[in-house]
Amino acid sequence: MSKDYLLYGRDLIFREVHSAIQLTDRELTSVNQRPAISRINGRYRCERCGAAVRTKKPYPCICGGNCLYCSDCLILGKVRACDTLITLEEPNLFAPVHPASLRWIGCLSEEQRNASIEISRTIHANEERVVWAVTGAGKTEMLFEGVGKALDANKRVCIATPRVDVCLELAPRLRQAFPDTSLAVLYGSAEEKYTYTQLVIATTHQLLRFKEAFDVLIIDEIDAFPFYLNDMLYYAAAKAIKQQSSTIYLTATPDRLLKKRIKAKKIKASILPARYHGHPLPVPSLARLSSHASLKKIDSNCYQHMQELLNQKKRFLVFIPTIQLMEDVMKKLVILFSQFSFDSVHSKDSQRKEKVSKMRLGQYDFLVTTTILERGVTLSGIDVIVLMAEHRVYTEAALVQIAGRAGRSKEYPNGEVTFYCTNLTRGIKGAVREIKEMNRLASRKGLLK
Amino acid sequence: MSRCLWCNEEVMYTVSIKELVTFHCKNRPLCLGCSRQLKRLDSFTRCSGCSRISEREAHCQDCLAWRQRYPQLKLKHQAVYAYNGFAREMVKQFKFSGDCELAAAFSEEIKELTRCRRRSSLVIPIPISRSSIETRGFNQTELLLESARIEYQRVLENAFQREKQSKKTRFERLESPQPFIVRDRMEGEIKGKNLIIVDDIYTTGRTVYHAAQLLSQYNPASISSVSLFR
Ligand SMILES: [Zn+2]
Ligand SMILES: [Zn+2]
Ligand SMILES: [Zn+2]
Ligand SMILES: [Zn+2]
Repeated sequence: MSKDYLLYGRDLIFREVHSAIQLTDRELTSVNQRPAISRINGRYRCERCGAAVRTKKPYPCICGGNCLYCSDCLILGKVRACDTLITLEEPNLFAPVHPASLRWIGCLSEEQRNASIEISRTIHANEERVVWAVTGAGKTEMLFEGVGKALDANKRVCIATPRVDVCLELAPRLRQAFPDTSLAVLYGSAEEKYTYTQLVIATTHQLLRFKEAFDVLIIDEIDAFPFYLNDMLYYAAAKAIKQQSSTIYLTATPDRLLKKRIKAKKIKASILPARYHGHPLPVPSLARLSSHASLKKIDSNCYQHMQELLNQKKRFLVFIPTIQLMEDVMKKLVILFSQFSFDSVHSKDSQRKEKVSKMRLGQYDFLVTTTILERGVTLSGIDVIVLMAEHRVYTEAALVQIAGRAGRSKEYPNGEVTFYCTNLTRGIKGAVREIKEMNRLASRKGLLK
Repeated sequence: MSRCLWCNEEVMYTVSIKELVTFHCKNRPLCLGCSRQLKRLDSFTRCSGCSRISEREAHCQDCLAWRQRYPQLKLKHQAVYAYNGFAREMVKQFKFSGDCELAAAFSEEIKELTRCRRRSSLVIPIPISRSSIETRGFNQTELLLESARIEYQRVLENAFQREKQSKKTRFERLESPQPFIVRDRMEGEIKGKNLIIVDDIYTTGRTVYHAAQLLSQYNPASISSVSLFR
């Protein structure tokens, strides 16, 4: 493969590319180069991630001088003031797939089918759309038709999501649906994995390495992005798409701003209030604890609750706000439930993937987790317990997502969700209201069994 | 309100009585949650030769071996934090991702380490290899000293192009030949001074002992060595 393929639609640090694949002078004249850190009105901005440069002063640099650097996108390799970014225009050089890219044969519910048609049309018309679908609505299947048509029209398509877990869950399903289409899954910082493909599944961070590459960009779980990084996400998305292109936002829990835009019809939206299996979303029950947040108080109520679930052979997830608290609670659980099989998992856990798959295979009776399992991960037949639901990590969106882990499968559609809290926060109230609202909407539309 | 250099959360502390009385508020670069994950070595029993956490204060096996090999040096290496998982993550971000700003997280600690009660002291950072200069662009130890506003002298330099330390096995590191030389016109600076050798991490002790052994030939008044992590 010629070196050009590695640069089509990419936005890479010249120094990094050059040390990996030496570019000849002739090749260098054909690529587009621009400074990686620009200066506009006396302010420095990183051109790769769009952030204002926060470094307070220049530091000794590999160029021999002193340079500012961008601390916001360090995870993708350091961008220094002396760096340039290089790109080659995206030419869409893909081998056509006959007779059609999409090989998925499956059934969509009527609601899913309607959304699927709307998505297809939006992609065809190079427009924007929000798909607001409750957890368990079956979003991925609704994308297939639109993506298939785009691929057949020789368009380059990217599905991006803030979470690595979601990427890893999406990849096999798309590979199965589009078996003859070239597909790359990009996450983490390893650049060597990159190959030029028509279909790209990537973390939103990886989008920063693209420039005007995609005809279709689908952003899944758009609300999962930490709030303070939102600007970066929008910058990344805007940079990665071509001028003529379509963007689809998927979410189960749009933030207030997005809801406002939907209500004001500033952006087209498909709203799916019901799950594919037609059962309502489990409404969380609130177990209020009178005293000030203390784990001792949770003891009596919650541990009893867990014991009951275990007696009934029901499997469940226990959400705990911080790693520190999780460690404290685990010490107790190990003593209380020594005869059961369980474990804990958090964002920095190296065995995270193994533990989740063990839970999925039924090798654990329950799993204790921080918010990392709040979304993307689908486990069937589980109940959900949230400890200290008043904690500030539990935003409305996070709680809706967490509650959405329960009752996912057709076989066990009525999972139970319990929030243990000492006081009712906006997040808790909002989450319960939102879930009830979606159930009402679904029932009014006649979508519930 | 400042933000934690590591996790970007707002830094919230209760002000101590002493700070209230003296109106001197310490700058806190890390939030409480993050600073708690760094374990101070002085809360443990340590080997008096290398600050390693140990059952006894007597010299550990490694230190005994060093003493046998360099009887005249008698280093009492001082370090502030245990090089635990969290410290490793920070060092990775600082050195290998090149997040120079993190140096400011340790200003107080570096000041504490290099505070010399004796006059005519000379702070000497361990130099980094040419290949590290090429890929990283900065000497992490010098950055640490600079952000703590500690004056230092580049007394040492690398004698030859070295492979990266971290890629060598422990044995190879212990057996490696003297990597340093004293820079031109620096010999005179050393004589009669109280030298403080500074490194970011003390692992086997090999680096520090090389530096001390070389410097001891130029008649300093004393040699001590310090590092942020051990
Ligand atoms: Zn940046
Ligand atoms: Zn530079
Ligand atoms: Zn912090
Ligand atoms: Zn020792």
